[in-house]
Amino acid sequence: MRVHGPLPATTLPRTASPLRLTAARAFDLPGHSPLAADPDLRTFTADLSRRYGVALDEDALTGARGQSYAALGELAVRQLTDTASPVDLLVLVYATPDVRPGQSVAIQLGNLCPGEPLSFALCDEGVGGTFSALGIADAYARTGGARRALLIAVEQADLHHRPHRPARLPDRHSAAALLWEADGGGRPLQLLDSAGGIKELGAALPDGTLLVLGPGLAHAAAPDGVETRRARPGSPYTGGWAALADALAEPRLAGRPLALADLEPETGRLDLACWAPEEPTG
Amino acid sequence: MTALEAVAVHLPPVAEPIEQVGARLGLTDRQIRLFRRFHGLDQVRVDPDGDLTDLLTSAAKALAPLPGNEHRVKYVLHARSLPIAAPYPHNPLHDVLGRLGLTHARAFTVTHHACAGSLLALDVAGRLLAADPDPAALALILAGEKTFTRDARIVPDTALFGEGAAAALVRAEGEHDRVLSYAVDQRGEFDGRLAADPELMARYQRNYPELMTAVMEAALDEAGESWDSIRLLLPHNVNQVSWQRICRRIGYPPDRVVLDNVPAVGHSFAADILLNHHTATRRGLLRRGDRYLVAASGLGATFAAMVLQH
Repeated sequence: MRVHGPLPATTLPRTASPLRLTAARAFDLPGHSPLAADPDLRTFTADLSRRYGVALDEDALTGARGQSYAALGELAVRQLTDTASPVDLLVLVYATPDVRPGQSVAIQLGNLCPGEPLSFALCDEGVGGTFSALGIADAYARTGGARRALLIAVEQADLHHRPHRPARLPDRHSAAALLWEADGGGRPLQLLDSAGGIKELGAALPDGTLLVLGPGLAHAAAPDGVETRRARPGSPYTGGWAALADALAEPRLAGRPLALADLEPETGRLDLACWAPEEPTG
Repeated sequence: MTALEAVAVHLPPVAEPIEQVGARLGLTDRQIRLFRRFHGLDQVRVDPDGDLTDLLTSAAKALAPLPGNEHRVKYVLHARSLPIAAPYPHNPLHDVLGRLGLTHARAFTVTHHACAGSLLALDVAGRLLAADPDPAALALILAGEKTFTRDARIVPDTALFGEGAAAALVRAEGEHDRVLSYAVDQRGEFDGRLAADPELMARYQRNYPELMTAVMEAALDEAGESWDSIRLLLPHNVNQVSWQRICRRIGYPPDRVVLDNVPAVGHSFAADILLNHHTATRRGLLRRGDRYLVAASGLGATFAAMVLQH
């Protein structure tokens, strides 16, 4: 059980975020979950779709296609946590529906995760969801609610209805997980904001930043004067964070700031996060 | 400390007698009688013609302080029981923003706490506002869902869902309805479809009173309060009998538990505690300074409670 008293009115004066990005992993999970064969999936999807007048995707349903967010999330928890480092907050982020749409996966993951964290899921914001989760983790850290937070973004490739219009869909089942800690080492979070436009991104970033452009910016011109690399467009909701994880793993980038920008086409919101160079542990 | 600036509700126009709901669900006469006589249910409020966007927009539009303050709303949170509420890429929450002039706000759904989700949303909103450099910033919490599938219509032998909706404006600091504590207990061992798993259902029902009581008492302890100092209990609206039992267990007067909406509206997912807050203030049951407790549980399972000061 987690219990706390009244929150502070505000954490002004504004200080640097206590959060540091200390580890990140990204992975794909090929194949399909046995849950995709559950007849309840058809019933739920039919009921969900009826009011919106969209048809079922019979190929996906009869082919029992799709992956489970519980399976993706469990792998992430096992890869990034250990019993010596209890987690206080776990946020599962998704945009496309789970193959078992009614399951409270975050509660399951909270049970698996060392520290019995407060765990919940965040959705309905597209690619902006993981940026919001980062803002939430920052807020919990600032208000004494978390010293270690695990954010897990998941996406699975199979819808069981036919979308009413073209929509971004992953071409594989993937997860990207990020561990944030208030103590020791890692990269301090320097900036988290919604940006005006991609052209202005360069001005917001410290000198020498490597900027990862997320899948929502696949067709956007890179801003002038900033070194960029692009995420894999086939993973719209985890690709940016996967590319960030790759950059974190490169020792030659340890002394440079890293940033990630991504655009959610459905809302037009452009999000930006930036991390300072890596600080030594201890 | 986190405070509720205003709470508003929207009750859909149609009141369906539970016999009508039960017939559609294929319940036996005995099951329907059980709901009416034992659980204290009478009708559920639904809107057969409206969708989720209509429901949430109506609740937000009932908030008197919202017009003119849209620019201060920095966050919009839908506290939702069901992890999925519309076929992707439909996004009712963002459709609501368009109707309310709030497209500048950061908006997302918090879920997986099921019907305890509005307490989570209040905690998340409070943290975001406390960490926000603008002390005048507001968060808008929306709650309410459509009863579009069987699992969104009934908890077997326990509750029938309705489509009551609510909205709350939240501030980092306020003069009334301030959050003094939050306790949450997450129990993944109760994950599963209760309708399809009688053993799980029995285990959940067996453990429910103890777990619900424990989380409420943890919230009381943290706030420095006791059952004696709590003016009202605003519960989730699963049914009346479960709260009467809990009252017997803790020695709390049942007439100080706001249960008006159980027979009148139905269990409206995460909106219940806000519906009951609105009822309590409308009926004048809370005086300035009174401490009150809100409590809810969500399938999956989450047990949560908060102490607030009116």
